[in-house]
Amino acid sequence: MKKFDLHNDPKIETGFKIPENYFENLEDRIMNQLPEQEARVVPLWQRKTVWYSGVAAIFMLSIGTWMYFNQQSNEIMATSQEYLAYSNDITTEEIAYHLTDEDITTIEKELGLYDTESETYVNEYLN
Amino acid sequence: MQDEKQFIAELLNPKTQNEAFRKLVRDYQRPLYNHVRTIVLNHDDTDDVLQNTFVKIFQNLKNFKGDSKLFSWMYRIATNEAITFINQRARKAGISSEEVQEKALNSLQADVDYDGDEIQLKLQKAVAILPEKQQLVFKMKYFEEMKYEDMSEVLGTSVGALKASYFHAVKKIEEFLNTN
Repeated sequence: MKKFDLHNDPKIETGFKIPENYFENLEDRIMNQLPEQEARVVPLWQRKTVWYSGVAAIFMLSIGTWMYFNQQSNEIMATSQEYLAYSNDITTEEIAYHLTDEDITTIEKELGLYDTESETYVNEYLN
Repeated sequence: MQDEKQFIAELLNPKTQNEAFRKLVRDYQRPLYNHVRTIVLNHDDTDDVLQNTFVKIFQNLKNFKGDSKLFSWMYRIATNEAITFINQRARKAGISSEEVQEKALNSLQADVDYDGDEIQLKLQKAVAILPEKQQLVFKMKYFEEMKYEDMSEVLGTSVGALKASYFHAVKKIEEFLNTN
């Protein structure tokens, strides 16, 4: 049997077949697979919409902050008023109930109930 | 070279990119198809790998430095994609790359996209016994008829080493053909 001599023998082909019209269709198939063109990357600070949003955000924050503090003082007033309204319904017995001995001593001192001169005057008056 | 520089510029310019890339596909689809098919053997697999190759080429055009010819850069991508394909298949199946190739060879005869005769099939089997790199050298020289200088750019091996590799590959194949 003749020996194979690849250098000198006619080329032995691969035997591979390619389906008809394969290459005619390939171009479109590949183009359809390509990713969308990347958007140009712009630094955030250069974008107009970011500036407009930033200004709007600062504006809203300012209004919000002002409104918040405005509301707080109104609330304090309202709370105080509520307290005063509420306190009108408190009886003296209730007040006395809630006072500590220390509170009572302080109040009495302030009123001068332990003033010896006054005590002498009262005793004299009673006797 | 100047033509290639111009062409690369067109490929990178968003305005001309699509048309330029279509031309690239038309010019290189056949040689790249043949190159991939000699590696993966089966038409459907070749189709998958070839599409991946062109998509990768498109995505990496901006990284092409021009220190090699465009075609050798593309061939390198195609070679890598084909080898990666085989390795991934091997990993998924839990077998070696050589076993993947063996399976592909065994399916070749029954393949609708193959009409090789006994000798052609025997040659494919003979090439499969070679180490991976040597297989590539043989296929690119024998089947694709690539010049050694171009092969050197694609494979990153000296012309001398490639010639030696091819010489030894032929010897081994002839021995296989003459004894089987």
